[in-house]
Amino acid sequence: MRSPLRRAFDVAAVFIVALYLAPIYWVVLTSIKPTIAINSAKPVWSFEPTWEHYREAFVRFEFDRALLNSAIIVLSATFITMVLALFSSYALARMKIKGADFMSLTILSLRFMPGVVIAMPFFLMFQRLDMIDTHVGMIIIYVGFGLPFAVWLLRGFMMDIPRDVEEAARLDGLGWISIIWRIILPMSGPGIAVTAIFTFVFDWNEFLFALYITQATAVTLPIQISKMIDLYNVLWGTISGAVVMQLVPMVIVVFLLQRHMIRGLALGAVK
Amino acid sequence: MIVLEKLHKTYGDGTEAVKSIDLEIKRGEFITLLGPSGCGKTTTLRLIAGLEEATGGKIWINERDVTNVDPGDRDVAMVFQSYALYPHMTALENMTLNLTVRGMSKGDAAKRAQEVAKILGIQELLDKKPGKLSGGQRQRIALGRAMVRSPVCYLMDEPLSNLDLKLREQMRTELKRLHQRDRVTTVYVTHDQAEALILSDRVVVMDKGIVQQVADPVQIYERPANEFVADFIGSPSINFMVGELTDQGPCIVGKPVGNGNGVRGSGGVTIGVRPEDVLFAAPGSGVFDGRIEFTEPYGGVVYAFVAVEGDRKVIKNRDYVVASLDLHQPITIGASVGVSFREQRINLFDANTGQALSNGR
Ligand SMILES: Nc1ncnc2c1ncn2[C@@H]1O[C@H](COP(=O)(O)OP(=O)(O)O)[C@@H](O)[C@H]1O
Ligand SMILES: [Mg+2]
Repeated sequence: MRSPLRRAFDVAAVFIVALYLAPIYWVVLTSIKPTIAINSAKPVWSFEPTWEHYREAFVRFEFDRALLNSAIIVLSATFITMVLALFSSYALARMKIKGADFMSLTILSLRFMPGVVIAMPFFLMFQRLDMIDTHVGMIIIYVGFGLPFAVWLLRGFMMDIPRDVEEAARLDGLGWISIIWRIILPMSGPGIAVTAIFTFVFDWNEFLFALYITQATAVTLPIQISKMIDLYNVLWGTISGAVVMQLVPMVIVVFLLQRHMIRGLALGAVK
Repeated sequence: MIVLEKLHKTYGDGTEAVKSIDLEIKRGEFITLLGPSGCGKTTTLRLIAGLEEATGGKIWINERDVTNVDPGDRDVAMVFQSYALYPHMTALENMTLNLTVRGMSKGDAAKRAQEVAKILGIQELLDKKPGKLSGGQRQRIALGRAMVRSPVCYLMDEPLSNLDLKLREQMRTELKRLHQRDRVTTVYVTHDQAEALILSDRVVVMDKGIVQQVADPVQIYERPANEFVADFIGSPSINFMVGELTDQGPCIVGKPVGNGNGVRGSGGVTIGVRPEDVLFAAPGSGVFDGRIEFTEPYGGVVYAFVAVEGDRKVIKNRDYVVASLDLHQPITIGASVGVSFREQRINLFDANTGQALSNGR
């Protein structure tokens, strides 16, 4: 039998989950409500579902392009961030570098800077370099801004990998690259999954840099959604449809990687 | 053949873990590094493996100077105390990685692993991952990983210490059997003297980063090179007694204790006698008289603790002379006995330096 305390925790958990899910439920609901039902003063509970808002997002707001831009920029940035983070966090975790702790904290502290402080110089630099409103420019910013946290997070996971296992690999004749690729990478599965999720989600939702740097060609989802609010009008239905479409890839990514987060936590490396 | 030449290791923090070790390990030999925790055994082994860089001296493996060679190119295999298996690979992959990395085909490598698995009795485990295996099974996989390579030498760092007692004894026998079968040079690290004495062709006793003695197990036990070795080996430990050297040989409180292997001279000596070489006779007929204070039965033997009568401190390292007796030898607690020693088994040490006098090393 479960103790009363345990039951109380269960109830609390359900309540909290409901609290978080409620707005999502509302957004999904709004995205398929007819505009009249949305704008009605009283809540409308029964209505004819419509795909109108989704169509509107694509037809009027070129949502397909924003979706593609976001996909290209965020996936590339996440991938590059992860590759770089993998190597540098390994170096900071393992190699006998003087002041590795200090270094990783310094790197992380870059992340504490307010975004605007970085956005302005980037804007000026990119102007000179002709990289305003380009995919490459956005990827560089996201990698640069996301890397510190990714390195710091991944380093923590890597320090938990027993040294013996790597040493066994060295004696087995593996070089550094092979050790990272064939031993460290599979063994840091959970760490990589967590780091990749954080990086992806941050980049996917990022607004400030995209606002400064993109105009038309490289416009990302959050920026495009913001355009659905103009001086006279807030297109609640279209926004909701767009938000749902923005949410879906995130949910997919988290679901895909979550499996790896759990797997590997109980791997029997030692004893 | 492995040669360590004035091998020295000082860690970055200034710890001098290994101080100028000279050692020749013969081909096919099973040699054990034995010593208390922190004496530098693991460091020495890791230096041979190439996992630590020597700060002085040289390492030769089969006439090749490998002092600055990568671990992977030294052709040595290591068995770790923690087993250090790759958790994301099956037992088979664990065992074959070192073969495929060196260019052997997957098929050949698997065949080789099968052969070794058969010797170790682990054929059924090959498709399992380490997480699904027991400690003893992991130990065998780790051993198998070393064996498939047919390396110049196995390096083992306390490989049995994570196993429970029964399994440890079983694996110890297994190691002995494997070594007698294949005669692969093995450097074995342990702090367990039983393991060292049972397994080894020769034992290297270390203390504070310095080799104290290198000899076969019998020699180590019967003719320790100094007081440290004498004290470290044997359980219960050896009796050290205060003695003096005369022209007639060693004496305790003026009474001669025997020939002392012909050592003559003058001055203080420490006389070392193992518990099983302590003999009881009628009071007055031994070297000195004592009183049996208490006993500890242990399997087939019983240890008797004898307090020396008189005021002088005779026993150097504790309050009693410890004698190891047959379980059925009649003894009475509180009885007085004359204590004497088996003459040929007496060890003499310089009272100041602790170095053995009887065998001269
Ligand atoms: N990586 C290291 N850095 C600094 N000191 C170390 C390191 N490894 C071991 N030592 C020190 O070196 C000495 C010998 O250690 P070790 O070789 O592990 O001894 P053993 O295996 O005989 O117990 C100890 O004093 C230990 O604290
Ligand atoms: Mg050790």
